[in-house]
This record gives sequence, C-alpha cells and structure tokens, in this order.
Amino acid sequence: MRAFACAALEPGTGGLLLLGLDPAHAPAVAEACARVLEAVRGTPVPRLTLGAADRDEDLWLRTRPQRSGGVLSFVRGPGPLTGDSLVLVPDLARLSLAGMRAAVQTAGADVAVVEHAVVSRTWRPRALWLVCCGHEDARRLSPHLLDRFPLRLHAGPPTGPGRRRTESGGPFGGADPMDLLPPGWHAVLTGPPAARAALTEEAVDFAVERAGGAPGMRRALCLARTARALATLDGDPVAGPERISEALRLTGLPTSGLPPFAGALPATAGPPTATGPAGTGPEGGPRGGPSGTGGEQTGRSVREAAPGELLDAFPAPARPPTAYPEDDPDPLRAHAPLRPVWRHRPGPAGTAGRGPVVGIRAATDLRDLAWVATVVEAAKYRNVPGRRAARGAGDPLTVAATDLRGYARAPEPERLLVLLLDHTCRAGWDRRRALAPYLQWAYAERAGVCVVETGHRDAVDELRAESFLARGVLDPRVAAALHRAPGRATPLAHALVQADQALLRAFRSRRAGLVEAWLVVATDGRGNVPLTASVVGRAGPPAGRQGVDDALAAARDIGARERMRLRRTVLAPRVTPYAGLPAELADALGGVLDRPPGDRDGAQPAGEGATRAG
Amino acid sequence: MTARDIRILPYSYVVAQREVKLALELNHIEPAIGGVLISGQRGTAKSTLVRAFSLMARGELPVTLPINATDDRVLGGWELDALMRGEPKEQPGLLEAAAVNGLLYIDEVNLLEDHVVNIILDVASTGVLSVQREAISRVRQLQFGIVGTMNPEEGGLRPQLLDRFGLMVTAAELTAAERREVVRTALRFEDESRAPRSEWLAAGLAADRRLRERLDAARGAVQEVVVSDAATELCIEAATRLRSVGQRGETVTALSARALAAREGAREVLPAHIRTAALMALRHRRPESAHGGPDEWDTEELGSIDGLFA
Repeated sequence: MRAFACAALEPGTGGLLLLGLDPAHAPAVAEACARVLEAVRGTPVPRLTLGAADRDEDLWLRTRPQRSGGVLSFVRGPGPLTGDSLVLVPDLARLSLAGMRAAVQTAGADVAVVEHAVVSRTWRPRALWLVCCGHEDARRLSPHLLDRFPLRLHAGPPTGPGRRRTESGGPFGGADPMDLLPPGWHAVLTGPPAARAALTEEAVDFAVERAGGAPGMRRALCLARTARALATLDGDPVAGPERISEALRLTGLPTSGLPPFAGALPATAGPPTATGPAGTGPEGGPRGGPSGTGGEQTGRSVREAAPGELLDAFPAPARPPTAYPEDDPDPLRAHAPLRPVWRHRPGPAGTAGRGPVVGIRAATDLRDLAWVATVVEAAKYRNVPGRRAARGAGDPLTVAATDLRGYARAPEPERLLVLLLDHTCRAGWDRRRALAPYLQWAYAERAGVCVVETGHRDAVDELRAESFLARGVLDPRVAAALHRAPGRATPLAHALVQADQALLRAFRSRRAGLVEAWLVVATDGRGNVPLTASVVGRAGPPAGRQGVDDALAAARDIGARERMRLRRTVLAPRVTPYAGLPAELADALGGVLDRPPGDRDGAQPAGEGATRAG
Repeated sequence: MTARDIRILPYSYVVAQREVKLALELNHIEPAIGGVLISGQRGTAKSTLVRAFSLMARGELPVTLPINATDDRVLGGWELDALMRGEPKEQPGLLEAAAVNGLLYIDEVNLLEDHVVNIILDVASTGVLSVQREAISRVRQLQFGIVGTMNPEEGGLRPQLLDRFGLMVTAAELTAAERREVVRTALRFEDESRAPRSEWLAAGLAADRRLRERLDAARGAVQEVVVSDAATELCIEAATRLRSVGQRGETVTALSARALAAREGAREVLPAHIRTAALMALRHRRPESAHGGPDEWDTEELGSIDGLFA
C-alpha cells in the first residue's frame, strides 16, 4: 500500500510490477491501488483489466450503440487505454502482443499517440499500470517492456502467521487496505497537492549509485521519486539518502548490486530441482554421454501416460528471484518479442474475427464492423428513392443492414503442436508410428505445427537446432522433417530453447490466444552439445554431461510455465542406452513420458552411439 | 487530459546526448539530409529529446507515427463523423501532415508492422503518395524527413528503411556525473511544472528561442557555404574507407558537413566538419548494418577515418 501511495503521488514513476503475486489476488490488490489513486485524484478511477485476448481494436477504439429518436446509431470514440484508468494486468507473461506494445507506448510516457482506425489522439497518459508476473516468467520478457515498470515489488505471500492470515482473508488478511497506510498519510493523499520534499545532493548520488550500471535512467529516477514521495507523505520537507534506502526496502527485493533476495517465495514454488543428485555426474570422453542417470533418481517420479494426458505444471525456479530479471544476460530470452509475427499466408480456419485484417467483406453480423467501409457503402445509395423516403427530415444518411461491412481477417489456428525431433535417436523404434497419434491430433484440431529439428545430417550448423512454423501437418515440410538422415551432434538444449521461444511467441502473439499447445519431444535425452556452444556457434573441449544438463535446465524453464495451457510429452524409444534420461527430461518438463513399443522392441540400439560426435 | 497538458522538458535542459542533438540540428538546418535514426538502449530519453527538439525548432510536437498506426491513418481516408452527417470530408493521413510539418517522427520504428513500413517506404522513396481506396482517388507529391527512435534490443530495421535515414546516431551511455544531473533535472522539471510561474522554465525556453534563432540563421546561410572539390573528394574517400554501401553515403556526408559548417558560422566546409559528419552519415551504411551488425564504430574503422583526416 505504501508503494501504491508513492506511485499515486508521483505520476512520473511509471508502472508497478508485482513479482510473484498469485493472479487470483490481483483484482483485490488492484482495487486497493485504485482506492489510493482515487484518494489522490479526488475523482473515480476507471478499472481496466488486460489479458491474452485484447486486440489493438479493443484497446484504442470504443464504439457504443445508442438509440435516439427511434433510430439506432453508433458513437465512436477513443478506446479505454486513452483514459485515466488503473490498468491491471494479472499476468504480464500472458498479455497479448497488442497489450504489451500498448504498455511500451503508454506506461510512464510523457506523451502517447494513437492513430488507429479513424481515431487520432495525442495526450499525456495518466493511466497507472499495475502488472503482475511470476519471477521465472519475468526472466523471459522483453527488457524493453520490463523497463516500463521500474517500481518492483515482491508480492509473494508471507510465511508463518502472516501466511495464515493471507490464506484466510485475501492479500490484505481481511483488513481494509487503506488502514494499512500510516495515519498521517491519509491527509497528504486526500488534501490539496502538497509541496514535494526536496531531494538532497547525497540522496541523488545514492539513487544513482543504487541504480547501478543499469541501462537508461528510469531505475534511478524511480528510486528518487519514490524517496521524494515517502518524505512528502511523512511531511518531511527534505529527502536524504535514508529515504533512498527506505525506497529500496519498500520493494522487498534487492537491486542488482545487492545479494539475491532470500525472503518468502510464492506459495506455488515447489521443490526447485528435478535433476539428479551429484552422484549422477558426467562421463568424460568423446561420446559425451551421461552415465547412471535416470528419472528414478530424481526427487519426482515420472509415470508413463497415454497421449493427451494433461498434467498440472509445477514451477521450478532454478535461480533466486531478483527485482530486475532483465539484468540477467540470459541467452534464452526470445528474440524481438514485441514485434508482430511475420506472416506470408493466412492460416487455416479457426478464430475468424481475431487475425490481422486482410480485407473488407459484407457483414453477416454486428461483430468487427468496418465503419468507414459501411458508411461509404451507405453513401452510395443515399439518394435511391427508397432510402430517401425512409430517411427522416434531419437524417443525412441512413445505414441499411445491407450496407454493413466487416473486416475480413486472416484466420489463425487455435492450437499448436510443437514437435521437437531429435534425429539422432532414430534406431530401435518406428518413430513415425509413435508420432502418429500426435500428428492425428494436430490434423483433427487443425492445429498449427512448429517443428524444431536437431541432429540431422543436412543441418546448416550441426551445433544448432533449426525450426520452422507450418500452418498444419499437411505442409510438405513436416513430412520431409520426419525422414531426415541422422547427423553427429545433438544440440538438444538449443532445440528446447527454440521450442520454448516458439511456445512463448505463439501464446503471446496470436490475437485470440492459443486454446492450447502440445509440446512433443521425440528424443532419447542424450544431448551432447552445451548450450553455450550452440549460442556462440563453436564447439569447445569435450563437454561431458554439460549438454544433458543444459537440456534439463532448458526443460525446467518450460516446466515452470505455470499458466500456459501446455501439454508436455517426451516420446522416447523403449530401449535406449541411458534409460533414465527420457524420464529425467519428462520430469524437468513437468510432463509425461510416452514409450511406445517399437518394431524392434527389446533390441539394443547398437551402433547408434557411433553416429554422435563428442 | 489533452495535448495541451503535455509538458516536455526544454531542449536546452536535456542533459548530454551531444551527438543526437547535433544530428537533429543538422537535419533541421539542411532538410535534404533526409532524417535521423536514433538508436539507444531503453530509458535514454530518445523520445523526450525528439519532442523537445521539435517544440524548440518548430513550436509544435512532431507528427508522430506510433506503432499502433493503421494504414487508413497513415494514408488518409474519410472523416467518419462527417460521413455520418452526410458530408464527404477527407481526413488527411500522417504522411500528408508530415509533409506540412516537414518531419515524421516514428517512435519505436523497429516495432512497426511490416505493411506500414512498406507504405512509408513507397512514399519516402518516390515522393508520391497515391491513395486509391474506399472511393478516394488522390495523388500528392510529398517531401518529409523521417526521425526514428529505436531500441536495438528489439531487433533491427530492414535495409531499405535504414537507407531512408540520412544520419544515424546512438544515444550515448551517461557518465555518473551526467546521470546525477539527469535525476536533478528531471525532478526539478516536475516540481517547476507544477508552479504557476517558473523562472527556471522561462530561462530554459528563452535559451531554446536563442538556439532556434541560431539554427534558423544557419538554415538560411547553408546554401552559401562552399564545398570545395577537395572537400568532396574527402567525403568520397571517407565513404570508401568506411565501406559505405551505395552512393547516398557520400552525398549525405557532404550535406551534413555543409550544415555543420553553417551551424558554426564557417564559410567553407573543413575536414573537421567532414569527419564529424561522416561518422553519422555512414554508420548505418556499412555492409553488416543490413544484417543487424553493431551500431558502434570499432577501433579499426576509427583508425582508418583518423588516418584520412590526420
């Protein structure tokens, strides 16, 4: 509540990012924030919630029907984001691409501009963005986007007695959130604008020092503004360095220059690791394969499951949470996540009314109307005698049902099959038959298909995985991918990273939001290329188990996607040299292991290892 | 809250970023340069600087093309409210507005939708806006410069669009002293903006007016500045040494050097002017720039250009 008061008093702060907050608590937290904002502004604050399905049209344009004089007409105006709302994003990682781009444009900006479908407006944004995100998810978001929310709060539930109160009474333990503010603050918040406290030179120095070497100035400015607000709220005319320290403590999270946060974790954070114990260490040598590894040795048991089974994902944060995850030079972050996906052809039917506009059509209902085209159509027939007679004396134009025009949109698939094919584990099973149920699911659901390939002979760079997006399983590239000859290297970690990025992109960028996705990893788990080698494109010294460990780490990142409707399946031959690896991988993914019987069930995959490089 | 409530820091108070400021000023003095691309990490006041410059130099905010722009707003169309009243009234698009203002500002230019980029490229390269849609038939001759800001973390630009920018500069990393000055200035600006009358703001605006007079004088004198054959040769040699792709590089270098000479009150373009101009005009014309190469000059490239002007 103190942070909300500071943000309300300092509109230049930008947005607030609550890390680790249970999305179920987000509405209550937003309501409390809105009450503080209303106290400061003295006027009602509209609430606006953004999620995965919001489109540009929903954000920037608002059209309302109204009836006057017995005639139905429409009033068009700027959309909800152009107002002074409190904008709540319950899960930033699942916010639509349009929503993310809107946040970049308006959160904390001096000026915002909208030029969208006949709406043209330039204004000074006063909307306060309150966004929530899991710690692990935040690591994958665009740093450019995260930077718009410089005020970070750790919002995981407390432990001990506080936790019990939270569970019983919501995020504020049943108390009136306004009562949580210091008594003296109410007068400052609700009174006439108070003279702001002056920041001392030492405080400015300390704010810049505490912001560290972070790019840009938003972090240092946020610290300074929060310190100024704290002093103002306490009635102190001067804000010294101690106010900067107070602002740092307010967030509950350290900055980059301090040790990692060691406080309460979200209640959903489970046992962190699914990897084997240290005793399952690497095996040296050119083959680079692991020895003695297996899912049986992990802390979780993996059960064999039929295709289609959906398990609850479990979060496994492998790294300590930090207030500024964008400082982590993470090579796994998606490339250019704020850019629209380039499409060269429309996809199959599915979510009509949600894809990009590709033309105008005669409307069959009142959804997604193209207003200008409709009015132009009506104007064509304005002087037709029947229309003239139907028109009232003061009505210049009458729009008939036949004039209505709607947007023709490229349809987008609602489901996605992400197929990770490890071509170096082809021996010992009929992989095509094993994959058939998944391909049939994709065909029946008209799902898009993303194929990630690793370890085939014709790869441009054998140290890297390759991927492509097809509009369906009938795309000839999918069939071709099922028949490639095996190569030597298995950059499994890189393939999993690519699969992860494809999933993130698909869930964010599709305007309707995917209904679900299915990740099928067809592999024996024997990655032999460390992720670093894939990223830099050079093979280093024999990597031992590093390729496997990197793959498991990448799999755990996918497994930590709590709120994606994602099925995860590891498809492995029944007999492999390291039988535990596929189970370990499925464990890390938080999915199921599918080991279909093959043509050579029981046969040793002799000679397969010789095809792999160390 | 309307555009009237918008408050922008006076241009004279914007801390550091000398190269970015210089590029914007040269483009104002010599519009034929064709625009400026400003690349820089998040939170480096790129947009603030462009808006402050526009207010200083033109007295109004720039015509802004945001990433949410749709093609009907870029190209122009009908005014829907007027149509509903039965009046066929056309609504000019952003490109036409930019031709009047002289400048089109594209915020987050690397996040623009591809089809909007195609429209801009068509008009910027041909100088002709042709609208043939929704019962509109209109052809206009348009000239405008483009100023774009981008964060390279979000990807690069297509080479065709990159080439439309006359100059490219990078927002510099600030020293600790400059960072402190930014915090002081930003907080003071917020405080002073709330005051009914601020001498500090008035002083900043007065400094802006003086700078505008200087720039306008330079703009009027730029055609008089002599570009000798030797200076032209230097521009060509600089472009060759820095592996500039195409011929636009040396032309823009010469135009920028001449504008710089006019800004400094010189009657002739000197080698120092060319060196400064070349680094801004050729940065994005290196072969690797088309493939997302680094924005910064490396020591070998700087050594090569220093050798030319030694």
